[in-house]
Amino acid sequence: MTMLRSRRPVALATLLLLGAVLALDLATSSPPNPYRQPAFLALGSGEKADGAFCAAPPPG
Amino acid sequence: MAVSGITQSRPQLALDRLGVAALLSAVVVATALFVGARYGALLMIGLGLGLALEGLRFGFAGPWRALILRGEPAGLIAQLAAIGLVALASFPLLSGHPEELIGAHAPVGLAMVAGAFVFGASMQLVLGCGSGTLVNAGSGNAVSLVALPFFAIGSFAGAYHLDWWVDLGTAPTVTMQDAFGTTGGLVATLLALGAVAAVVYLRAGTDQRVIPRRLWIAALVVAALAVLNLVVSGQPWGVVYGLGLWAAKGAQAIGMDLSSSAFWTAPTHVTRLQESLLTDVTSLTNIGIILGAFGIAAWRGGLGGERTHLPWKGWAAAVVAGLLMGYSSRLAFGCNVGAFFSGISTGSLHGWAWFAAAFVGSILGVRLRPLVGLEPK
Repeated sequence: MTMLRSRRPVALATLLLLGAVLALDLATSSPPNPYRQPAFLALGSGEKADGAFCAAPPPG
Repeated sequence: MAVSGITQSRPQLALDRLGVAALLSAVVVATALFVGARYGALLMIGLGLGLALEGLRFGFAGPWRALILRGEPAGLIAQLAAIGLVALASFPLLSGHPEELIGAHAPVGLAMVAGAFVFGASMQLVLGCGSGTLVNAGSGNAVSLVALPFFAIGSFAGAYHLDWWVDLGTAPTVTMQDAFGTTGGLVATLLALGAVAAVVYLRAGTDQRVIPRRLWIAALVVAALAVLNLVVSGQPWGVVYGLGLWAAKGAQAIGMDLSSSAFWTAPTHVTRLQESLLTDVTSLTNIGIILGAFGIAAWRGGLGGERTHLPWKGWAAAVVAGLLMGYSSRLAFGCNVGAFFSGISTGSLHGWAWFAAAFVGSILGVRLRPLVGLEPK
């Protein structure tokens, strides 16, 4: 009972939620391919970031 | 609200520590091996941020509240110091490598300013900003756990409607680099940060002008990790895009048609929707922040504290505030991380506009918090 009143179940529920998001993602997305990965560092790679970012403006 | 007091036995704490170290190590190694080294590194950067934010109690919403209610400047000055440190590195990096690195540059507009205002008010209701909601949920705060899914849904919806809001009136994107050049822009940014810090420091009472050593350490660590994020991923630290992407994936999975959204049908975002979240920069750092906060809370026995008890009105307010934070942060081109921290540190004028509007919103949010059942009257 004491444990149920603690923050532990809430933290574990957060991890379960995160696990559910990742499980759904892995079930519905292209599987990650470690043989087709970008350079370890973007700096010096010659490749620009794709713009999937909070400040991304709407297209057009 | 939460009252600590449920003690944890030593064997239980040892078990927690062992389990946490094993879990976090396994997740990072598996990501690096099965997804890619860069993605493993980004997860580690997120973990570091979670450890630093929770472990050193470095936040955004809480310090703003402390400044508004009690005039305490320490937390805000630490934030400004961290932003200045990142600017010192990011201005020359962005200038020297424009073909590889991008800043958090976005336009100032009506919806952008209104979004920042609403975000500032909402983050004071749940006492958790973009990064704070992740940290708090990971460390067992029930209000943040309730708000988090709605934050994601709001972020998805805000992005969905973003073009409509931007059309209401938006100025061209302005950066400090455009206005003053790289060196001049950096100097102007540092001077402005210093001026804000000086104002809040001098307005504080003499007994409040102490900045704890942990905050200086946290500012240094968070700044170093933010620069690493830029160097490894090519883009600044952000939070909100990843959360919106999580909800967009969920919407897609239940059959929602995203084809009428200009945002979610843009090639960049279509690719993100097709690829795994484990290859998305902000998703990886978000996951790392949650895991890092969980790790440090478990490590020091913090999960034994008593969980939050609120009236039903408080839980309803957490849901609404979560939705508002997500939606408004998309209109504002970022939250406290993507717009305030990364925007200012990479030279975007919208970061400063965000700071001003969100701070005014926070003043309102602090006043509203007791009225919506989120703290004892």
